[in-house]
Amino acid sequence: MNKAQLAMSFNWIFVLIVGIVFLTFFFSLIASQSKVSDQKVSATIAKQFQTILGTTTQKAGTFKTYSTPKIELSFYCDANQAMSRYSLNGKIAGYTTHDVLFSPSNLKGTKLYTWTQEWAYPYQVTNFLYVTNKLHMFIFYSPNEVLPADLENLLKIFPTNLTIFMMNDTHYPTKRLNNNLYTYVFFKNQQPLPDIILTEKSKVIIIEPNKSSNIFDSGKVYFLSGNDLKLNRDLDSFNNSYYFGAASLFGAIFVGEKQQYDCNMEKAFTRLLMLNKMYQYRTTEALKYIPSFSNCQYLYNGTSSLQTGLSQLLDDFSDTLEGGFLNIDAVKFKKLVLDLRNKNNRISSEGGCPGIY
Amino acid sequence: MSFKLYSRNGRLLKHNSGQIQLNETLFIIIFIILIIVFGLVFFSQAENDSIRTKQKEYRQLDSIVTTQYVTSLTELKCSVYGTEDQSCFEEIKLTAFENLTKNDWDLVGEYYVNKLGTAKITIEEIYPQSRNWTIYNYTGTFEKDGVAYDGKQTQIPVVIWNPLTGKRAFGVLYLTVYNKVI
Repeated sequence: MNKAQLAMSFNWIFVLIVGIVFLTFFFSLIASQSKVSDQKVSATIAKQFQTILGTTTQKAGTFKTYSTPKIELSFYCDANQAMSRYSLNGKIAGYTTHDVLFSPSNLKGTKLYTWTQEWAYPYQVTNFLYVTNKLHMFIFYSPNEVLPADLENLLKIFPTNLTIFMMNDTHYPTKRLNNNLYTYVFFKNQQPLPDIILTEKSKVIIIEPNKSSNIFDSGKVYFLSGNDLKLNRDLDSFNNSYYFGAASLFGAIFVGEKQQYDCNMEKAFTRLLMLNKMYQYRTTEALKYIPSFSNCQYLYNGTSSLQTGLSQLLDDFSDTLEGGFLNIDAVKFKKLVLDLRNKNNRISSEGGCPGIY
Repeated sequence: MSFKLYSRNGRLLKHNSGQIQLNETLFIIIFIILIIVFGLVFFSQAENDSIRTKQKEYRQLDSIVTTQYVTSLTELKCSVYGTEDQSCFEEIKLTAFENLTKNDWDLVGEYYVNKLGTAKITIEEIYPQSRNWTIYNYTGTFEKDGVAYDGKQTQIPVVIWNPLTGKRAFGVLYLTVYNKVI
């Protein structure tokens, strides 16, 4: 090999090495930029979702549709661990420690639905946020064309923009489609429940209202999976929780499982306790300006034997709420809610005597 | 092709074509590297600017969310038979709220810090009387980390209502949201 040949091959080797270095550099640059771009999109969606949480919850009764890139949104809430968060495409995107948010634990798709409802029990506490998507189907059961009264009342408020399926003994979903979620909603008085439900990825909610005249007032909800219903066991052996008010009942329907439902109701009860404490301070403050021996003062302070005053009711309510939703004495809680409602109405009708809400 | 190079005193410099080609290649590589470095510096600068703009945008968004939240706080608003009055704050509730955050911070602190962040909220009565209520003031760990903060103030006209006398007063809500200066 002469000198010129050697120089030629050296040039080629040199060009090859430099070429490889350049290519590696550009490929790694492209890869890192693509990763950064993905992170940017995720961060933007996370921020948008945070803003949705911050703003939509401030106005009750709003239904909104959001278009997003194809995302997987997961929600996790556990009251025992005091942990509530949401993840975007598998990565934690934010915490919802104080936001009452009812949603299935996993949502995939490009369209997000949000709905808000005010929870007032007995006074306005907070707005509940419900999140779901087009692929979440709510299936209601009506054996005849005429809807049962309970179901009719429920559907009067339930958003019509959601994917709703009215099922009877001959018309029902037969096949599970990709990613679809199915939530069957039954009332306890519809037993025996039909055995024609999809077992895979389906949830069953059975509602047992305390009063047939007002299904939203309070009651119990049972959380079952599609397979559970086929076991045909006693209903009380399945997971169940209390619901108080329409917003709380809708929460159970949207979330479809006990752990997430209880966790969010725990947050709502913490907020209720905070507001009740606030009203205790307000009562103490108002009493400084209310004339002695006036009707208003009697209503606030009560009379030793005839009536319990507002102050005492609020104190008792705070004591009942101390244990949170998980340890609530439902009967005592319901009674105090009723007493507070009556007391507030009585106080508000008295001239110059401010009600608490 | 061969080149003839001469020194300053006119003597012929002997370089063969291989050496010259190598020099050319090196020059091109250095030139390309310089262009890439220049491009990267420019790109990172543009990225930084874009991040700063986005952060500013998000801060403004946070400020709007906080403002909306404050004006919709059910614990402060005027309410009769459960019906709330927009932009109206109840006088007794303002004092009660001051007492709540002072005495029960363990219960309510985390909630309000989560919702309002590092901020100061003052309601000032302008007419007929002149007085004010500082309902929230959380500056977090400002001094600890040695990071500078700026406070952007939003002013909202409000009505202050006394439910015992039925009298209404005119006031202003001052909301100062503190943000880290980047």
